[in-house]
Amino acid sequence: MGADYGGYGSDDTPRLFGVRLDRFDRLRETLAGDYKATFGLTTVILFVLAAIFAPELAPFDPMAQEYAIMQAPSLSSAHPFGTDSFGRDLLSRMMYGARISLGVSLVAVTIGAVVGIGLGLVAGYFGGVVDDALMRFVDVLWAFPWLLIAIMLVAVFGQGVWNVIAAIAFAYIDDFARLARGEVLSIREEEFVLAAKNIGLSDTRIMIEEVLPNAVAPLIVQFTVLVARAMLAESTLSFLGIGVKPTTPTWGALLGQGRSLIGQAWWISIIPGIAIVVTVLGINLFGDALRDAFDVRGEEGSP
Amino acid sequence: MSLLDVENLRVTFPVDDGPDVRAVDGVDIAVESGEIHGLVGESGSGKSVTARSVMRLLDGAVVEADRFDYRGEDLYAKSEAEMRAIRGDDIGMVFQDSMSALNPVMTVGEQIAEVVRHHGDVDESAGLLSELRRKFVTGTSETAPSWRRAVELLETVGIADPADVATTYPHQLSGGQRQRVMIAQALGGDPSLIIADEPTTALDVTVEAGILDELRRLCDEMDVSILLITHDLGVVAETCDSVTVMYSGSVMERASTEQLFQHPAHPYTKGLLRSVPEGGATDGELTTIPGSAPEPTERPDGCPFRDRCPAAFEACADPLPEHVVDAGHATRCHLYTERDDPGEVTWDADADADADADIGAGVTATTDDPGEPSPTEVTDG
Amino acid sequence: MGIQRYVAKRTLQALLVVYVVATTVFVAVRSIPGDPARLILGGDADADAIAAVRAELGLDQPMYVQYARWMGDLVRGDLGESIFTGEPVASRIIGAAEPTLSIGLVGISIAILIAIPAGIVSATRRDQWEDYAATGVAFLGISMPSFWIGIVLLLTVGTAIPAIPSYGYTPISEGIVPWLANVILPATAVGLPYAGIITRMTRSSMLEVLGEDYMQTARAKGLPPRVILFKHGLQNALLPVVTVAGILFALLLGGIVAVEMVFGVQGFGRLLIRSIERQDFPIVQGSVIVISIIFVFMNLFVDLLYMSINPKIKYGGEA
Repeated sequence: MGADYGGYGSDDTPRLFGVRLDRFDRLRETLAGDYKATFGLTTVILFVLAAIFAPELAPFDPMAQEYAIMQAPSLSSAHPFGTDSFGRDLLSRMMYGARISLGVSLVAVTIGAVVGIGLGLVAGYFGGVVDDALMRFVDVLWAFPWLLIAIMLVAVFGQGVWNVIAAIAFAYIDDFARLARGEVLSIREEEFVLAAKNIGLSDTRIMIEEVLPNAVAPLIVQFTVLVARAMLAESTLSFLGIGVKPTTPTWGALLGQGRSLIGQAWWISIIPGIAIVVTVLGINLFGDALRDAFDVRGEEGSP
Repeated sequence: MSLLDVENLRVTFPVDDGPDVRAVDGVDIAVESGEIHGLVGESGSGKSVTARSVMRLLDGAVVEADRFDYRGEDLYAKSEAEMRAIRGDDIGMVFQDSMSALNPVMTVGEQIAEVVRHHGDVDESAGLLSELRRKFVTGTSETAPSWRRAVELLETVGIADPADVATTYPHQLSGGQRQRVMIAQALGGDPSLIIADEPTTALDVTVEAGILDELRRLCDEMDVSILLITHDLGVVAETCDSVTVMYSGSVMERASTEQLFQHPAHPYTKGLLRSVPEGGATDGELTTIPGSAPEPTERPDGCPFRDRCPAAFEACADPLPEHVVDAGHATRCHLYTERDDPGEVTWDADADADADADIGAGVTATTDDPGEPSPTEVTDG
Repeated sequence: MGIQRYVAKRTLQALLVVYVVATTVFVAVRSIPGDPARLILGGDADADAIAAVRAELGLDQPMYVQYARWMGDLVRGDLGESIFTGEPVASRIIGAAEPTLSIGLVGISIAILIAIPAGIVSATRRDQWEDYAATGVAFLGISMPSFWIGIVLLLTVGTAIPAIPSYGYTPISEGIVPWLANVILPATAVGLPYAGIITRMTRSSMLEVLGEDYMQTARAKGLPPRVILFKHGLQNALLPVVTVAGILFALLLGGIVAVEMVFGVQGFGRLLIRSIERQDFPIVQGSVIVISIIFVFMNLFVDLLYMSINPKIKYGGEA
């Protein structure tokens, strides 16, 4: 009874973290055959590696300012991507920036997911008044464009990584809540859930052990998609100067710093931008492969 | 000359990684003018595929036949444009699930009127732009000839308040009404043949009776022949003039309705008839044909029914023969061709008696579904 | 009857949401550390001046009085005055609206005009080069930040074609062509990600429709392929797209604000960012509320639009 982490699911198909094993096979097939998916996965892995090993890999100290070589174009010196207006090496800043972008996006979407899925699970499972109340709350959240939340947080608390995380997490709660609720609504009528209730398992146990594992696939896909969007959102905020603190080298911030120098030192803006595009594209492609493998149909609002 | 004459039809569906699926494996079928011809079989017998092959609506399938004539003309020699002229005009089709077969965002009247416009002799433009204009901008005027004809047709198929109903959308109607709309739609181009693919399967028994009556009336009064696909022997008994029985891609027997029910020849037909519960009878077990129909890729050589047939013998591994039992009655069974005396080709002693029994509307020929744990025993009735 | 009740209910909900937003803004602004009056006057103002400003701004009143005044003002459309210029916030916002609206509307229009046909072609020519091209561009589009697209456009098209200015905004009053030329680059930057999503949604929706039974019925009726595609398929395919299109306005928002910064457009977005930098709270407050209102009612509009084009909802159940 119950879907384990590994072992068998409620419908006797072998599973890993709630996702059927044969789906992983399909994922491998997709990744092997579809070059788009391979590209996506490779990019994601590179990005993660760069982020994790930035201190070892970065050729320079991202904060080191060399006034002698300010605004040097790419490949002109020891700096492959050139330097910014303080003489700081762009490549190193970008590598460190990867850590922050990755960290911010992952943490933000995770928080949003945990809260959102929790709300959705409870609302869908119990139905009735609980459902109504929780969904009203989610509706209100949904009415706040993420930008507004970010603005307000920045206005009150100033710039900083945690404001960005909070704003993005807030914005994605309703996404996860709706999705989870929809899944739960269709799962809770299934036989194994009714059987579990008959045995007398507590509601919490049922929700976590029976319902959730079967709802996991679309949630994973949504998670991936939203990580991509979170990266774009963070870069926008940082670009506008209402995101992370000015010295933090996230890619969006680097872009923002280069804005006024477009004429003379275009690479300061363009190159981090390319990095953003490639990484986000990779995540999107990978998410699409996941969606195909896990057989999820398109959800509202997701590309 | 038969209205529809198909000889040795073979339909194969190519499969990416696996053996191709031979859904129809050498089927002959003919529909005469002015009759309702039933095509009976279980799910997976290939009857729907056969029906769709007449309209050439099988995309991706390989269709071969020695003859595929409609009104003496080879349907498969025609171009796609010529086929479009035939579909809806000469041959109409009625589908099983009327809710999904009707477009949810168009009024019922419009869905009939457009057939009239495209195929009937009304003086209205049916070009792309006018159709789009009608759909999105102006709607079809209620005085337009195509609309009026649509209302007429709705009345013909027995819908009350046809003028009002014509302005409604499919989801606003009942199942029976929708099915009548489908029939009206099929009549829009004044066809000589209507192919009805399980038109009553999704309906209640009482509603079903009404639809079947309607079809009978159309055939008798409006000179429309009907190819009626069904899995329900009751429907056949009530409505059809002649029948073709299919099993796993092949024809098993072909006869007039009376001949089939009175003197069934093929063991499969006998098995089907025997499985029909007699109306009101409560004694005896429900008998079925043990086992289940083979997948197209797992058919045995020769007769596909071998593995479930109580009378199977060595000759059954040979390709199916054709044996004429009587005028208009043929069966494809080695028992008749290999043996001088086919013998008691019965499932049990009482089979013949059962075959004479009255079969009411709504009873279904049942066989084991694939996947059921074990078949019921063959016992004395 | 059902429809009117539904509209009324949704409108009330929308107003409720706006109310919540307004309240949240009120609370947020008053949570900002520091004394607004001191901020306005600068660090070395004397106590009397500060007290005077506080009285003027009503900051010496109890919270609930301030709240009541705030709500009252809001309902009357009075959003206060800018701390820096003294101008009424409302008129400042309205003044900055035209460029932003232009970019937004042109952007959405471009996006829809390109994306929907692209999605349809993608679906009907599945797995052929048209499909790959359209899907590829769509994927790229959704992976690029609007402002980066803007920068690229600026550096390429903007510098290569002198006729297309890469800076500022030309009001419509000076002529449609100059207006359009000035707006086209920012609008494209904003519209491209939006177009990407719409293309993919249209494609998947159209693919689903193409497999529906009623499309086969249309073929069985002998209708020409293009009539089947456009008369029978299109509306059904667009229904889910309409739903999603509304939800995605939020996406545009961030894009427009950032793009205005790139192209130096003196629009609403720029106003917002500058006001945050300068801590001009009345403008920030007012802007947030205006954005909220627009957003909420935009979604309401899209919902109603959906209801009007989906007969299943418009005409209820079985007769």
